[in-house]
Amino acid sequence: MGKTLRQNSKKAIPIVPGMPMEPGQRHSGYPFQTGIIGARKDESQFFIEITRRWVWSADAKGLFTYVSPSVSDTLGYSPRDLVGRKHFFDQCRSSKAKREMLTCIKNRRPICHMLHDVRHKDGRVRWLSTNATPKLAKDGRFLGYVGLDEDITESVAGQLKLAESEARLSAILENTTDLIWSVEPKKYRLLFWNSAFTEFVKDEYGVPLREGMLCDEVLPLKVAERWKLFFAQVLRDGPFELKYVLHSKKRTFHLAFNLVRNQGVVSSISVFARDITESSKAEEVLLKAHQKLAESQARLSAVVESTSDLIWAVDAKEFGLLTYNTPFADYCEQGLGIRPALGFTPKQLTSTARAGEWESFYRRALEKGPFRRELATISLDRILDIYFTIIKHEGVIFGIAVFGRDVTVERRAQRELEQQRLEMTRFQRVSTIGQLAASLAHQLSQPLTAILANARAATRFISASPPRLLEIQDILEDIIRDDRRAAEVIGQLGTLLNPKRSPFVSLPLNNLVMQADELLRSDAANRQVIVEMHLGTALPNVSGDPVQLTQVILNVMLNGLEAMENSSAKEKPLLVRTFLAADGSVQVCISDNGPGLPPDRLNQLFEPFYTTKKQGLGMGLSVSKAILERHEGRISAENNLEGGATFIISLPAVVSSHSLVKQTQPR
Amino acid sequence: MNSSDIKIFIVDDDPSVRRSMARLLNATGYHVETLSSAEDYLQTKRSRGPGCLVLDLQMQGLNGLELQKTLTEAGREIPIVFVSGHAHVPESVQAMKGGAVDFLTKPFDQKAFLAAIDRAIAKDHVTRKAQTDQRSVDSRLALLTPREDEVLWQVVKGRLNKQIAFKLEISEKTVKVHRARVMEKMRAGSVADLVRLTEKTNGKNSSSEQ
Repeated sequence: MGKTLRQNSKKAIPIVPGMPMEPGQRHSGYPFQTGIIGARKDESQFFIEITRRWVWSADAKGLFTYVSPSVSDTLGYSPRDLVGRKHFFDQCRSSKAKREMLTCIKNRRPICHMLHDVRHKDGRVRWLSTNATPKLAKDGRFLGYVGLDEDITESVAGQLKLAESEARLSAILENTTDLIWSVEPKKYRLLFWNSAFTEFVKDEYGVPLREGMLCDEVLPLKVAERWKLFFAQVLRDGPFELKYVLHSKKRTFHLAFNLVRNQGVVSSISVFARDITESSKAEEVLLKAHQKLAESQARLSAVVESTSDLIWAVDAKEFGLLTYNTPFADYCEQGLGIRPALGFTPKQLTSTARAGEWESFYRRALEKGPFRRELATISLDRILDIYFTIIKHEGVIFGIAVFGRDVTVERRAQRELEQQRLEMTRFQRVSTIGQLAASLAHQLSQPLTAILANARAATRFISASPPRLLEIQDILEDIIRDDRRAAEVIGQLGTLLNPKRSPFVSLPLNNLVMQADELLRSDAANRQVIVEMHLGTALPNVSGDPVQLTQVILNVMLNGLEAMENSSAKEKPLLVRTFLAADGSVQVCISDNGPGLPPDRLNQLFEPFYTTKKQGLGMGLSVSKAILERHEGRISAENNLEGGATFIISLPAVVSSHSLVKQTQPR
Repeated sequence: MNSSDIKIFIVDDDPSVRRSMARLLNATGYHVETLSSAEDYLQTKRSRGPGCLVLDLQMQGLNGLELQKTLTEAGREIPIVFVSGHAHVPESVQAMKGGAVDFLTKPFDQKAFLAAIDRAIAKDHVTRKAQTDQRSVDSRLALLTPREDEVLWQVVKGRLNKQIAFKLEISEKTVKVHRARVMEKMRAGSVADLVRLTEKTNGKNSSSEQ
């Protein structure tokens, strides 16, 4: 309204002071009945012009005889356009309004606040409120109507919107499964509720609802008291929410109490109740899952913390620490002098060189997957067996987890054992030498004796007259041969005493067997055991360290000799055979006629310190086995049916070289 | 001593050693026969002339000590010089107890070797002479009558004629006659000679003293 007023004041229309302009006044009463028309024409004209209403008069036929100019503001028509035309009733879309209006007109009744729609000149719908009074002549003849129309389009639109939103709200209220109701704040009488609430109450308490019911009328006494407390609480403390468990149905509700205020005064208390049974169940499940997770995390953490292994994880980018356990922290502190903290990168933990090494390990884990690495740490002189693995979840790599086990003790023990074994091997070798010393000395003394005697004889032959030159020539040839023989013996001695590992060479197994036989010959003679050799022809070569392999054959043959020494069946030989086995390996079988092996301990034979000999160390066979394993060979033992034992040494054949080995018969 | 009459046996299973020792002894002037095993030696005929045996201790088959034992048991006495690849103390002791002349550890030089051979041969000479002497005494003893034999052993024991006559329950005069015959048959110049001659005869008549 104020807007229209300002526009009109621009037209320099003087405003009459004291003119009542309150908004409420416009709708009240019937201006024409209160004698506006009878007022001074100027004043009434002014009044008519400034208002957004317009006045009109129509004749008995319903045709406009006068329309005030303000009609154009509302409907776009000028009064001139309208005079002589019918009132807008015809345009009314609401048939009810139209009918009512026509009834009024027909009966010459005043038209009161008739709401109807008309079209603006440009076609827009406008809502008008029409008030009109029939004009009657002094003789009572009907002359027509005088009326006042008001554009209430905006107000109608507002109402329509309100109605619409009310309808929407109502739809929401009615369609929701939430229970919604409100009570008045004094006695908590029921004011409003939705259908969900109706059904719930009917279902739960069997009570039909009506407005103004008290809590006691709906609810059992105890429950009602409780609700009264809730209402009192919201009045006292303001809105609140709570979880409400309805035990009878094992359902859980989430309740929200709110206050509805009207002009600062609490007009009602609204309650929203949502059934959260399912979600609370889910919540419960979730909670339990959380608890379990927490428990398992706690357990894991306990494990992680109680282990002496170092455990840590780093992210996949900077390799900063994501997590670590106490042993890791202690290790860093003791070994690197740094107490680690989350986010520390390798560079912050250790020297640049070492950090680079670690980064390369992490990168390798990222690129090639988990791997294991044994690392010797300089600072603490420890050996760590470290396992790198990637932490992955649904295809996304989060980081690298590292498990480090201190294997210093194990490795040292292993190293010591290896050392011991090496020493034992050496000792064994020396002891074998001890056993063979007689043989070697004998073998060496033979050529020396021969050489010396030959030389002395030659001296005599030379001084004879004439010198016996032919004999001297024979002697010299013998001397050369014996010298070579001595050199060979010394060579054998050298290889037996030399603990260094020679490179593998391809060689005929028969040669090794013969060499072993050579070394054992006098030993065998002393023990009065005959060694019988059956060497296979055209055997493929084997690959290996000749000294070590000879030692193996020697060990086994020596065992055979020792087994047979105290045997009564001395007429039988120690049988040594070489042949190509069905599986393609070259084998040496050494069969003795001794007491045989204890059948229940066959599997222990090759374990260190297992011995059946009174003075044995139990190292020979275990060393032999170790040597053969280095050569990808095998050694096994079995008892012969006819007594004694057979040891089988098997070595892979060298495929490429099929050098024929001349069969050499033993002497 | 004429070396050429002497024969030396060498038993060794090492052909080279065997040959070289044979050459050396040959060059020194001995006759040598070489054999590769103890068994082979046992097959040889017992030599009439003096000699000795050079024997290797360690051999396939019958070893040196076993051969020594076998020879002793068979009464085939021959001085033995043992040679061995190395010094086995127990074996060397056993060898020497068994009557070996020497025990040489290889390698040995000619001085020790030839000296041992010499000693062995000398021993063989002594043995052979003793054996010859004994055979002579035995043949003389065989000439004595039983009564003369009885008188002989009484005389050797240093008994007087009077005691002998009493013991044998004959007259003193008869004892004197027997005694003179004994001295004559035994070709002994004195009682001392008689005692020396009968020394080696292990009193097969000693039972008669009782």
